[in-house]
Amino acid sequence: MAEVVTRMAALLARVLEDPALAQEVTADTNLLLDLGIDSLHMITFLLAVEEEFDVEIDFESLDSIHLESVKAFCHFALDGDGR
Amino acid sequence: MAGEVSGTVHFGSFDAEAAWRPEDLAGLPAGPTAGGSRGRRGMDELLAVGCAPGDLLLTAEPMEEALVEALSVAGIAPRVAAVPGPGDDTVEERLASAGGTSLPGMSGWAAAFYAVRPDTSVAVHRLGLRAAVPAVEVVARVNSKVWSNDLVRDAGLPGAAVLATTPGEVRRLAQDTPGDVVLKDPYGVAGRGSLRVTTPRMLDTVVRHLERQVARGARVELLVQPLFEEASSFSTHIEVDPSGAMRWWGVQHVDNAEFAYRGSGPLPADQHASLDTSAHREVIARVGTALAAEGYTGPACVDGLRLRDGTLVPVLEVNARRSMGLLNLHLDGRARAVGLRSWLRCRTTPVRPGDTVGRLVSALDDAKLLLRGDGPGVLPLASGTLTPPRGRLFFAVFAPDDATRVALEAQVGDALVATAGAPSLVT
Repeated sequence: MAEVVTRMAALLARVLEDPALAQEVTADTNLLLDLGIDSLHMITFLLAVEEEFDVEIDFESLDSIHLESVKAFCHFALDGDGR
Repeated sequence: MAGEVSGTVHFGSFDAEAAWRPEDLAGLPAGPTAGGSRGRRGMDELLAVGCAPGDLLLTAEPMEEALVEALSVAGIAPRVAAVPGPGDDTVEERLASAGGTSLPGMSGWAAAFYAVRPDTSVAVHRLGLRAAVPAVEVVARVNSKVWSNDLVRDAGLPGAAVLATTPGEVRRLAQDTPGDVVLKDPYGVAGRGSLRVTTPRMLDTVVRHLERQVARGARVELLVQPLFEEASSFSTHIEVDPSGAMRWWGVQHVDNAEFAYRGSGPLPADQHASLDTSAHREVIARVGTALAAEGYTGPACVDGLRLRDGTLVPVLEVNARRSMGLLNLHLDGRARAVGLRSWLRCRTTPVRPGDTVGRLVSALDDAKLLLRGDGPGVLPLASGTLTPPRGRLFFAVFAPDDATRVALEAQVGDALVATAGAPSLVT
């Protein structure tokens, strides 16, 4: 999980154009409340996750609850919840 | 109040496109976002810049007192009142129900609304305001990018997109287009509802997402066009009055970052020369005539582009409502009165909970940057858009020229850091 979180943090840092996030984002970081991702950044991030991890995200099932932590999002996007 | 004085009542939600969009349209991939609806609701405070002294601005949420005072010092001094009602309701919905009963009487006043939404006509009637309100069905139709694209195509203007009505057509049209492709939802706005497709994998994702929605009965309407190599972006502002006549408000330079709006301002001299032509006015008059023929009256913003190869795309899309460029034209009128020009700017910024705009106003005042209406300066324009942890700061810069504007704007960043602390993560 630690390696996946690191890769997610790097993606978020790139999408949000804030290099510090690569170090600051943890498994417990809330993507909405802590990072405040807007619509443009969100879709850019989600599409980047598909490319980076070679997964297919089910956008219709994606809900705020899946973004309450990086850990929850990884579970949704990478472990089968969101496919 | 009624019978003693009269003025104009200003109100309106800035997310009108969501109300116009048919529910059965398939959407582009998207995800939940933070503070989106609350932040957008706060944008109605921007309407203050179009208010004359004595006008009344009705907002969905109370405007922070520090902002009311700052606007007043700058010479923008409407009375401001928040319309009570359920948190998720728009200001129009609140006014159309019982929300206006506790407000000052305003029967017989004129109404100036951001856009015509389903409840606008009822709200105007209930408050006893004077206004020509076109039918919402007409407004929804002319605000569709499909409508403006048909107009562009029928007029033989450059920049027409192709309408795709199935996932397969989206794929074929995108694959047949050289380079990156832009997919546009008919009711997308400021980046929400436009997607730049850069890889076959992204196209697969979009098509898969559309196919799933179609399988459940949704229909597809997406405009497909190549990514234009943009040299500059501009918006032309007109008003179609009930007689069908058209009033010309002006042309504004538009600053975008990809699809995100960053600001409006005066046209640089070279852009002004290329757009202050009878040919451009004729094209825009054609748009005004088409809007009037549909039964639309009111303000309209026509977005356009100049491409790097010199091609002018005079009509990229039509927004039959008020717009950011029109708001800056209001500001520019104030700036010109003191020998300056106005730039309306927008930037995304980290926001800590609390009185952010009050701290920002104080920091700008301490730095002698706060606009006082008689010289160069900076003026925050909305408090409700500064939603933690990341919000949008809308502000005006009054300056004699663009170089001074850039210098002043750089100092806004310093003031933001001083007030918001600019933390990456709020703990």
